[in-house]
Amino acid sequence: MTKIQRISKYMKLGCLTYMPIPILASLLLWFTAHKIPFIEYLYKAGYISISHAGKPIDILSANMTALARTVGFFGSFLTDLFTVLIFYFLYQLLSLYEKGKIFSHQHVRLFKNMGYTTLGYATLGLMFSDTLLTLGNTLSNPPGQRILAIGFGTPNIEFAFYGLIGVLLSWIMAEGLKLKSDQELTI
Amino acid sequence: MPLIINLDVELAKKKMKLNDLAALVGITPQNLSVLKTGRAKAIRFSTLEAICQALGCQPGDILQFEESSPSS
Repeated sequence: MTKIQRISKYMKLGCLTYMPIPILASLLLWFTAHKIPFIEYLYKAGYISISHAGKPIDILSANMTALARTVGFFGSFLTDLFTVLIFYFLYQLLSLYEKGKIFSHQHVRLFKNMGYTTLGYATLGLMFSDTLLTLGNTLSNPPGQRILAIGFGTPNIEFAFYGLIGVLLSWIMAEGLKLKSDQELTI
Repeated sequence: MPLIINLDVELAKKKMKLNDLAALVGITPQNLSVLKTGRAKAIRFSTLEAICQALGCQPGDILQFEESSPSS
């Protein structure tokens, strides 16, 4: 087994292990953190947190209604979904490397998928996630103190840039595949 | 494709099999089959030279250009 195959195997296991964690963690934090003392302690100590606009959301508050928690959970879930999707594509890519397949149309497709998913995360994901988190955070407030906001800031631009890099890489790899094909059909 | 490969014609003339020619030229039968079936995108001069030497023919005997006729 080459070093690429060996490292890919371990990273693949890492991806597989990590994939369910964001969504499970969000579920746990939004719906049970205020009921389970250990999680409450971890949250208060700052080891785990859900933050929005740089400030932690007070999910431990007894005043937070079930509806607010549900809305807030969907805000976290939206970004978690994109993360899980990217890790899933990465898992498929690492599976190919583990089998010794280094360069093919599948690799191009996976890089393209990761790029567009990151772009989607940067535009729709983060934007609507922020909206839902803001709403979830303030839904328990008295009327007149609830906020619904839509924004586009530096994190969006940052991830949009990463997404574009991913898409560009896939285009470059597609050109590389054409060169490879020409090389294979040169006698 | 306007370039026609007449390798099978030359092989038949010399009563040689594809595998034998591949061994003489120093390439795999699969590679030579790519050339024979017209799927090749390019051929190295060294390979063409080796094929002509093995078959005792000219490059023009193997490669034939035929302009594609416009559809009526």
